[in-house]
Amino acid sequence: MKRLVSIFLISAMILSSLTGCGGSTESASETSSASTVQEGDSTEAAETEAQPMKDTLVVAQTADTTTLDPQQQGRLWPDMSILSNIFDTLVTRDENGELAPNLATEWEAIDDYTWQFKLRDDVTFHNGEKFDANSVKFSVERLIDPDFNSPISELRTVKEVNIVDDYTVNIVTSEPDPIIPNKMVVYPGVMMPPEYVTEMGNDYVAKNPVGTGAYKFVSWEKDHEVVLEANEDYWKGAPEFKNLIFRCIPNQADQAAALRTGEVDFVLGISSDVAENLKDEENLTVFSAPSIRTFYIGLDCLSEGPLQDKRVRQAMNYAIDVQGIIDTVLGGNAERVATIVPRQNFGYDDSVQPYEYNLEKAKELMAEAGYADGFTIDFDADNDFLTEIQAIAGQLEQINITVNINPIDYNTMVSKMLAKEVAPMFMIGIAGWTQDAMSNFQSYIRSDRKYTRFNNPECDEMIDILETSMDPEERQKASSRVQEIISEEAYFIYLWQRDNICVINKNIEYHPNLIGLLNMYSAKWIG
Amino acid sequence: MLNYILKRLFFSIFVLFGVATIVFFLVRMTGDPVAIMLSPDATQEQIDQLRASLGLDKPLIEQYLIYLGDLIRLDFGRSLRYADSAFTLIIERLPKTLMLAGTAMFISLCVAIPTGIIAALKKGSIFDQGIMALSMVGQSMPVFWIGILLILFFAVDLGWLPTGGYGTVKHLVMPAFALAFGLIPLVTRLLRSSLIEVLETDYIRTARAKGFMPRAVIFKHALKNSLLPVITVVGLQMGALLGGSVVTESVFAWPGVGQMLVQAITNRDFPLVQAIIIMLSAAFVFINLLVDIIYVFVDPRIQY
Repeated sequence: MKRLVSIFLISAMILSSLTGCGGSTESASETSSASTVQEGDSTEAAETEAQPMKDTLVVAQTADTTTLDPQQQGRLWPDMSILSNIFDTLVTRDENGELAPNLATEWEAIDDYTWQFKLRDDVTFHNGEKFDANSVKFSVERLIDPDFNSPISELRTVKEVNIVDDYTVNIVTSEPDPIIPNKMVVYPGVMMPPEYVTEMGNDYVAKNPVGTGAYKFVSWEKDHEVVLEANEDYWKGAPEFKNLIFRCIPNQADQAAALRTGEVDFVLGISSDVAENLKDEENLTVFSAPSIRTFYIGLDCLSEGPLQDKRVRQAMNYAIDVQGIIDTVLGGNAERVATIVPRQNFGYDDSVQPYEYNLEKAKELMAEAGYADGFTIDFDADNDFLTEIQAIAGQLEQINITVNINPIDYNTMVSKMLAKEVAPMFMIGIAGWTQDAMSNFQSYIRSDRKYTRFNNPECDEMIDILETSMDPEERQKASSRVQEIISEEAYFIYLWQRDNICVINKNIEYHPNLIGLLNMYSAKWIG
Repeated sequence: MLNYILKRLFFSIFVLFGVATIVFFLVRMTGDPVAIMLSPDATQEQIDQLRASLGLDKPLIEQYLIYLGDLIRLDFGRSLRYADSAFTLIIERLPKTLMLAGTAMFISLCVAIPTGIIAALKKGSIFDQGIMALSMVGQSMPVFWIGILLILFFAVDLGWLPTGGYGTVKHLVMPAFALAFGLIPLVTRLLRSSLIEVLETDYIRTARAKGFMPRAVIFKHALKNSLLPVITVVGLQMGALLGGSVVTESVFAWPGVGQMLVQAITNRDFPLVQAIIIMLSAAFVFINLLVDIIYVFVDPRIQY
């Protein structure tokens, strides 16, 4: 019986994934459901025994990378997750989420326009080329070359790179950029081998990557798998697993099957109903990894209508039982946040408290604003999050707001957002992988930014400080002020930051970092 | 004959032109590739810059004319995401899709032709009714459903086959059978009814009256004539298999054209979607032409 129910669920899931969703983990992450499968008998689950150490680690993602040139892509999944195993970045994050040395040993801002990085002197690329200051100059300048057309946009402030000595560089910006080191953690900080790239050309490099990372490239069967082998001379020490394979398995039901048979060892961002089905499997461990991806509902505060009234927006925040939705619909795999900044990011202010669930107050505010009888509003709903959105809509009914849900896929929604055609309400989840509030605010707060739908001069002023000041204290103050304002003004409906649900071979231990990048170097055999 | 083929080829160009036009405007209604390509915190200037460098800032009609001009020179453009020629990307994956579709077709015919013949000969018997009922069930089960059942049973429970992917014959078995499941009932039922019809014609009765062996009557006289509608449908289905393997390829993680099409649509990779649709349509048109030519050999009454 249990199997039948799960087949029904799985089929429904495949249908929905085919009718419209992305390949990125953006959309791969959740088709969450309130109706989880109940425990039945679990006798059939257990037949596997402890295995000898595997030397190959297989990771599945819902899509394949589109290129193996890390400077020609800008997605954490699937592309950068694969490439971060071949290429190293200047800076990294330690297990506590703090900035940590990587190819760069230390860094400091020597003036408002110059970041100086000191480099390791014992690193070579897989082809034997030496890593030095010239590699940094070459890589960064390749990335920002307008003719190179990179989709990576974070280094827009960088003007040039100057070599100070063999292992010291100055990254010079055209305007102050306080978070250059944060940006060097992911794709903007990837280091390419200058001689190899110059000699072989971009098209060749995009199919035959050479980096300094823990794994060397072996082969790529497009849309099927990328095969890597351990770099025995890795400067941090050879990785534990001799081979690393990233496999593309588009649908989660199939991922689940491959996990059960042991063909795949690890998946990040599996939906909660599929995870529920795998909990009883003896050879697998299901766990949720904290993530900084923060969800909220954008409100159109500029167009004529009830949302222009602050009291209405506040009422909406009071009317939704966010904690209740986290506990039931999301199975507890999320944490309430007060605004759009996740707890772990720089600039977060815990003195700004989330709205409480208070239906009376919500009704009062609606009445004060003259909307006691409510109104009708459109909601563009990312169909990966339909269950949560339906719960939210149901709760808004309590204050007589009728929500017309328009389910669309994530990429359609982003297109509509950019074209300024998105509905008065839409829900989005933003990670801000630089782990600085500045990135969370970037496109949504300052009145001239692409997705902003309110106008608050004080916010604009604070954003300018946050984006250009090199003084952390001053930046923290500005960030706190923004959070106070957007909370008080209720420019958004504030929701949660959501964990990534992971499934792993029970003999392997691996903890993805807060941004969920799948650098597998730290994976360990514990069987 | 040659005249006919040339005429058909000439008209095919118009069909493909129509397809090219429709797909061009349809994909542009689905969203904005630039919005998705750049990271969420890209500025408006960066977005405008990328859009200009991809030629997406030009008026729609101008983009359309450039696109047609390229097509005439058989230039399908560069994929936005893969930064590679769309044609190359398709050619890399086409053999895998052909292998899957071809195997599925082969399995279908191997099963459907004998079953169809037996059902027709034993018309009304329990065997016939059983086959008809089974094929009804087979036809109503969608391929993704069959696919998951196969995976759960043969891969997870029995462990005989891999859950999906590509590489060995073992990987091919489940997706090919899943695809064939939809086709077997169709061909069986068609062949059965067509054969029953032919068996009731005068010339078959004559042949029988003349004392020909029953086997000779069926295989030499009846079967050949009843195959005509089957060939039409098989031809059409072969085209459909090429495009229809989209779902199967996704379910079984088969790295063919179908899976790439799904990704291309998700990414709003306009040039790649256009190229795939045009090439699938071209294959469809070509197979149909081939079917019409085969007619001449099967049925001498047909002349062009």
